[in-house]
Amino acid sequence: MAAHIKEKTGRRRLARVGWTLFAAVLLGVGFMIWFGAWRYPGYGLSGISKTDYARAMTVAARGMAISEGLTFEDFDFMKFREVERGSEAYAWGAARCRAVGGGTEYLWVYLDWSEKRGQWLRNYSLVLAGPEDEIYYTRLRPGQRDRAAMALKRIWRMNRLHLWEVYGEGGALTP
Amino acid sequence: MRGKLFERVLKALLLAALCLTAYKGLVATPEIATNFFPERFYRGKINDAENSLIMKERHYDFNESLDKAVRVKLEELLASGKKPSPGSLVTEKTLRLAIEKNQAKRLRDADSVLLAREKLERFLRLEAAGWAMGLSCETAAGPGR
Repeated sequence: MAAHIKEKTGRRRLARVGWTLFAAVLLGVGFMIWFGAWRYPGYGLSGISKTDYARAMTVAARGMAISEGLTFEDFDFMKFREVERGSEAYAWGAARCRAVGGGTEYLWVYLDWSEKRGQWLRNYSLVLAGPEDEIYYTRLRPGQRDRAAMALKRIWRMNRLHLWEVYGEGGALTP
Repeated sequence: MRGKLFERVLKALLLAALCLTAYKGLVATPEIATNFFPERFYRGKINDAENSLIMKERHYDFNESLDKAVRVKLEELLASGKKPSPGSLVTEKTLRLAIEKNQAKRLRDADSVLLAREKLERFLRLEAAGWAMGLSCETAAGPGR
């Protein structure tokens, strides 16, 4: 009898641990979805008007350069385009940065205007021709497994840098 | 009695959904859209064409920037005289290959920009001519084309 009860409570405890873990994972995934879709794209860009796109681009480029460990120098080019029928507007450009070793790095910065939120949002930004860029792939090298591993690593690193940019010590808001 | 009522409500809802689907499908055909809702039709088409033209221009610019970054990488690698670490993807060979790939891509991207611009211009022309799709077969020549 006593053994039976003991077994039952043990199983119950196991189930509770399982559900707690499940809830924690779910919460983490939910947070990352909110962060990636809402928090990070608009971080530090609220209050900048549609025509003031150059300021928004600079904020985005500076924040990204800091998180990548680069020194932002200037934009090589910057473009602003908007449609006449509708509310969409876009800004993009390439920012020239200096690496610690003295090498030149280019950042691709791309923002779009959100009519719903009334502000600029980051669309996608990346280091152009980084050490593992797909432009260096040949037909056989790297192999399929390495490609998948590199892609996962890239996504993991990107999320880590974005989190650091918003919650770490060197955010986009630092002038 | 209750079971019958539930069935009837379900059938009515299904019929309503079917009617809505048919209506939506008909309104989306160019014959009805251009004749009965021309403003919405042209607003949608021109907005779409404008957005794709901007997108194609951006793709072209992205490739240009990538190309520039690759060329700078090659220059810096040659100037430093250093050998890339074993296993590195960035070597003189892959850098030169990347430049060639970008060149091929630039031609395609430039073509896409042209196509997108032509599409936008065509819709602006059709709108200015007040074109609406008739029920008979259209000829290739006509107002706005």
